[in-house]
Amino acid sequence: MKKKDLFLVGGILIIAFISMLVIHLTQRDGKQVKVTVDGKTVHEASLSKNETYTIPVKSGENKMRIKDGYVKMIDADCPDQICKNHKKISKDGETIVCLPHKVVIEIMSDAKDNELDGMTN
Amino acid sequence: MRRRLGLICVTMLSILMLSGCKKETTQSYSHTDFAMGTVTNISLYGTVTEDKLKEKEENLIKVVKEIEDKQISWRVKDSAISKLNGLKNKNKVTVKEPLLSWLKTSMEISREASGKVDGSIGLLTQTWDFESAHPVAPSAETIKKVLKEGNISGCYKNVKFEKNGTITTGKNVKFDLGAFGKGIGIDKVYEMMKKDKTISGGIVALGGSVAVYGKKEDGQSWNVGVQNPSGEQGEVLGSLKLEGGKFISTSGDYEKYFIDKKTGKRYFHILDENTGYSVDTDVKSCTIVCDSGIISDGLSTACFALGPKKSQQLLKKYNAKAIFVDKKHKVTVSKGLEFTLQDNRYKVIN
Repeated sequence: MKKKDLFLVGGILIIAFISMLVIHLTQRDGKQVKVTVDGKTVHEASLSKNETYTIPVKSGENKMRIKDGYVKMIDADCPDQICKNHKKISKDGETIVCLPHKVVIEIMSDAKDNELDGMTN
Repeated sequence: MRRRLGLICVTMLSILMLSGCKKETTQSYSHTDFAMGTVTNISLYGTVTEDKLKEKEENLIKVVKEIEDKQISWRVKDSAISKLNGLKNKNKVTVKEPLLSWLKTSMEISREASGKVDGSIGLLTQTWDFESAHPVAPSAETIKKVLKEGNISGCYKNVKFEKNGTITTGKNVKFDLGAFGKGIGIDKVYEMMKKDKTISGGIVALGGSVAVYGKKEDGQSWNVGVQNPSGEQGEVLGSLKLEGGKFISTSGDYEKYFIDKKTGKRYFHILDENTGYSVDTDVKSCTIVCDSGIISDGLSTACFALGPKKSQQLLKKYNAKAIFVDKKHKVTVSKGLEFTLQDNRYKVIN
């Protein structure tokens, strides 16, 4: 191979490497937590950052906590308390729902680590 | 020549490297919403853009809400079922489609189940009203009165479908398709997914009723988690591996219940039409798998009440399979179901 060929090979490899780097960097970092009330997104956060968040529901109260990569509804004054009794979630596509207050907490990411496609309960 | 060969090789290598990051042509969209008094989740896979899938999902949910509001919800004043329930004279009433077919199927299942699920005991279910914000147990006198007035025990026998498409019932019969409604909803969504050639796969869950259609993007089977009846909401007892075309429903004593403040007693929504109270059973939950939503939904209630042994005939009749979980943490699984237990506090028995 001539010197020019080496340049060409090197050049294309560098372009390929940079493209991959750009694609990786622009991808969202890790898992996101999305909170909606009656279909409208009210909050987005990273699952890797601990926080407590009071969800702005129309009437009543729902409070969630992100801790060590898990989300849990820690407080709710809805009559059925199903959201508060929901296990802490961490996997892609998992949700905690408060039906009376129309709240959905959802975990989203590009990686698929949840072997379940749905739940029957 | 050598130079060209080198160029071609490197270009191909680069394309290969880059294509590793490219998205596959199958797109997916998943959304959680509220309809039929419960949480709904629809995931669609298809060869169109994600935006298009979102549009389709919104339309599917709209149709489910229409079924609820216009047809089968007794809570909605001018739904077809409310109008039917409100009639004074229920002699040879003309009922339009689609309600007529849904009533026919529901009442056929009620008959086959000898009333262990019964779509015509609305008078009793409305007296309890488990879905109200603050449910209270009715007094023993009230229950006694309702059982008598509504002819509740064996109520399904009061409903007759005439050949000309009309219905005749006793005057106090009130329909409540609560035990069938989510099944009706997933049947409709399934039918619409199937008709749409751009949808290659999908899963719809209306509360505890789930339908799986087609294939996922990776062509693998669907995995549906079964709720642990003694665990937290969302806690998995095990998972069911299913091919597209299956309908799954679960009934459990943990779904809709309350503890009465006066008596301290716990009541749940599956009622025994002979006593007027919650079914007395060792079963904690019953999951049905079959080829129709309305059947899986109806049978999950009936088989919950019947228990694993007495359910066999009914399951056979509808070519359905079941998973029963009892209070002693025993799990009974029908042959032919691919169920993987994940909670080691439970035991599968045969």
